[in-house]
Amino acid sequence: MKFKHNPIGLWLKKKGWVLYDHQIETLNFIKQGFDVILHAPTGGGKTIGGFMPSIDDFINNNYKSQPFHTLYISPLKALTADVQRNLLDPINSLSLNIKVETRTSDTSTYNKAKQIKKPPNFLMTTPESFALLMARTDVIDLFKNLKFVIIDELHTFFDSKRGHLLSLNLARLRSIKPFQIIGLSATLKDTDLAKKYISNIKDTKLVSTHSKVVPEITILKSANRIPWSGHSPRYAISEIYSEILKFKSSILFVNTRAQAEVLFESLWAINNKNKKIAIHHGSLEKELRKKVEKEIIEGHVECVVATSSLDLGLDWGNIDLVMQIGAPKGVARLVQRIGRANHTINTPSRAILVPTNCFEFVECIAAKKCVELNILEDEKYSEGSLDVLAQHIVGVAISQKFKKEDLYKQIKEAWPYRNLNIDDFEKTLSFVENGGYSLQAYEEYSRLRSDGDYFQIRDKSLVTKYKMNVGTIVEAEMLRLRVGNRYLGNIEEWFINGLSAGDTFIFGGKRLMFEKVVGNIAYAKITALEHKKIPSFKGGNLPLSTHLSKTVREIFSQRLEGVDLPDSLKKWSELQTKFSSFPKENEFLVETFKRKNGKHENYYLAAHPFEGRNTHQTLGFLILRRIKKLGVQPFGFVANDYSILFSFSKEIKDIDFLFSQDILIEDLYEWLEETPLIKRLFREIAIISGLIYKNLPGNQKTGKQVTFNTDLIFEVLRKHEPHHILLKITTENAKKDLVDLDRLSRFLLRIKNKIKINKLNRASALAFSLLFEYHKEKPDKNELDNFYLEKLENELLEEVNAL
Amino acid sequence: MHYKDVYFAGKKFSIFSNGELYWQNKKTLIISDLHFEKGSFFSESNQFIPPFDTFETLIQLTNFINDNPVEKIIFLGDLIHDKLAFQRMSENSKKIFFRILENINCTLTVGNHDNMSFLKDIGLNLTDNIIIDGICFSHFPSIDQRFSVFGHYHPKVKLTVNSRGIWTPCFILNKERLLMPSYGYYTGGLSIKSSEIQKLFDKQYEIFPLTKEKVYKLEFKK
Repeated sequence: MKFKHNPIGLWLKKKGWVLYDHQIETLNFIKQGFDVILHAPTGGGKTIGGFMPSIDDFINNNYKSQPFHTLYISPLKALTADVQRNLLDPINSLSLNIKVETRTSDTSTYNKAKQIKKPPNFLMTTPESFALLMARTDVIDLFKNLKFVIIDELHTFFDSKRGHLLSLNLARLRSIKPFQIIGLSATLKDTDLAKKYISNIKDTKLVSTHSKVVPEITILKSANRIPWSGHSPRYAISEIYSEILKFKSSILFVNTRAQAEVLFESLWAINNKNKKIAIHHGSLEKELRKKVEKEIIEGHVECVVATSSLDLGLDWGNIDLVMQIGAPKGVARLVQRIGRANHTINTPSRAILVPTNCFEFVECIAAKKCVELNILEDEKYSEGSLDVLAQHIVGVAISQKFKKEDLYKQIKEAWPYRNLNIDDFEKTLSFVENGGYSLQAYEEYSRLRSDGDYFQIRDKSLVTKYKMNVGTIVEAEMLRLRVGNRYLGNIEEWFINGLSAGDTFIFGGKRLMFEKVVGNIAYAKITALEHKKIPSFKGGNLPLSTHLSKTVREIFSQRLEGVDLPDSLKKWSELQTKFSSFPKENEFLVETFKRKNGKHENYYLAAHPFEGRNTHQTLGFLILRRIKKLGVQPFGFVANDYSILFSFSKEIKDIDFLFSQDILIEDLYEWLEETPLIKRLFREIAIISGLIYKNLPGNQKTGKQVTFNTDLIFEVLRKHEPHHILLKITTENAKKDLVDLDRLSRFLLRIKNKIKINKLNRASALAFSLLFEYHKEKPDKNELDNFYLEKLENELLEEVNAL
Repeated sequence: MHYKDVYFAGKKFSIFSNGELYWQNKKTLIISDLHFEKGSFFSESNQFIPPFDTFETLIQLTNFINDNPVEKIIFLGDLIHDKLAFQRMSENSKKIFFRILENINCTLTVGNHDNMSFLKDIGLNLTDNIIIDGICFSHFPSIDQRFSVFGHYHPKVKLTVNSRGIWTPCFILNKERLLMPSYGYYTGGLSIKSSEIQKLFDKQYEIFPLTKEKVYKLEFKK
């Protein structure tokens, strides 16, 4: 194609930008009728590349009105608005008559209705809003002009229930109106699987380009000692601040919302240069988030502390510095974050990593190494979950009547569901109809009506319930937080339950005093008092990726040699070598020691698998059961991403037995039966599948969302209907998410006959951080103060120095 | 079954871990807020909750009767969740329930969920309240009697176990009032910190949290 005559090429040229080869290539493949995956680094003109076929088609056909010509689907609401803004620029300057609009859960009902009457040409939406569109009765008419579907941040959909939902709706849309897909991603490794996700039947072309420049990553070295444990960046706060001062605009990424609050407050406490610092996280009220996003774009905010709420694709183009506070956890994730500070494809991004404890320092080194060598993790892919399927079937039934065999065939065209067997499909369908109980208790109330071949909904009341509950992201029970006459955001119910009137806490960077709860609103007022509590927002912690953990192990196996360490870490490393040892490659290090805990002697066992928190948690519970079997009373265990520490009453002789492979067969299933974690998982499944509705018309006012205790439902189901489809889904999900069974069994295989046991007189350096966390767990968390921790840390330090 | 003895209005009662209040001297069992067929009630709104709650509640009740001499049962109101409860109830559950009604003298002090027309003529004494030895048993707290045993609120309390909070149903009592937990399987609860419960039990009271295994005791003083 002669791109000189391409209008977008001309526009780019006018702007002084280049038309990239990958953009041309994408366009060419699309013209040949293929689906395309465009894999290009951030700042590489991916968005324009994705939309070029649409714009090109629009111009060539000289369309006057072509409703819903292109559908753009993104995992982030914020991204839809951002991409819309970036598109309007070329559309306006080329005087094209293309209407671009967004449709997300933030769009008002009024605007949504208006949009159907006067549809835009390009629609920017999310998987949930897309599912709602697909559930409309006029869906066939609605998408009759559809030509292209663009999926942004494609990699986020491979291993998530959202991705399952999206794939089901894409498969259905294909059966309604054929279209071409363009998938966009900046981080892809397993491109073959990505192609299959896009289309299970057609051949998909891959257009891939790599950045020629390597990001410049440095690890912050503080003059202060790096803490052994915890996740607070306070020790390096003045150095972080002075870095911010050097740049015009910066993003400080953290891993949890609690970290965001702490960092934000600590920065303002020393902000004597009055740098404009803002905070952004997913719990903040929509208006507040949008205000911050707008201010960043307009340059009114110079520094923003953000969680993953700002991770993906937002193209602000003017960020000079990215800081990652806390461990990166995964290489792809870090690359994505670093990419925020990128103007064009040929200038390197600059990023500073700030580890918050000793282990994280090593993890940062590993991450830096992987990014520089461009070694990314393999994406995870998951089999389509049946709770999502149940939700989808309701959506289909609302939209049009269907034949069972047709639906089954169509579902199998969605890649995650390619292996769905007829039995599971029928059980899921029967669950959707009336709960799927063997007694057929609810036959007369069935959601679906079948007359001969076709299924359809029994009455319209289901439509509202479906609309109010669509989606696969189940959050904890939330209360809206109100201060004066403003809403600040959403806060977990369990956190508020732990507060009494007069307690102070911090949210959105504000010190607040809790007053009362009325309905689903928590009232608080601004206070000048020192805050005690920070909502910790469960679930913000990602586990260390398999890949990164392997690199961390390598660095440790070389005893941190050749690594530029700050002094405090050098000491840490020396102590480990002197009194214990670093695990050699393929060696699994276990250390035992005893320590006085008050009046008692406690025996400890520190194991260092480096397999990530999830795996360690499971392993911890399993080992605990084994310790009991040995007739030793365990006191408990703590785990982080790197190690597990057990504490018990007597010395344990048979350590090999604790870690033997058969633990997965014998103990795992017993443990799954009794762990409270599985009940939490069941709650999510009960809500996604539509067993219970989280939102019902008229329910919002009472503040009671889920009317049922799902724990009780789980127990009664297990007793009376042990083969119920929801229990099957729960077990499948648990093996994957709760246990990460694959990773655990690979670990046990890896360490077979490679356990190295060091019997020590006292805690080793590697065990410090967990010993510390172990004691942190003991006192009531709410009463915990820094004084206690400092005292413990000094105590441990003295012990070390006395050696 | 684990239980704890308490003295209320000078009489000895036993609190059982499943939520029964047993008056041994009178061979009388008091249970509250059974909410029969709460689970199946929600089928009307297309939520197909496992329909085994009534059965579970009745099995628990049968076990208690088998283990302890019971000549009289007082249901403290809200026996059924809605007026169509008996229509939806499984034959199995009905059989168990009617067998109990045949063999034991049962009284229902009517609650706000109980629909009289569906509870008549099934062998159940219906009344607003019943007074025995100066103690008033009713669904709502008594206005004119000094000693009142009642239900309605489904009290629950949060216990901290291994730094994790768990909600448990509980009994609350002071010198003159005794509030019972709900005996129904799916019934939710109201925190004892809520103003509705607090205004009934100001100053000094005892709480008996129930877990499956055990009855606990906590004392509160303001």
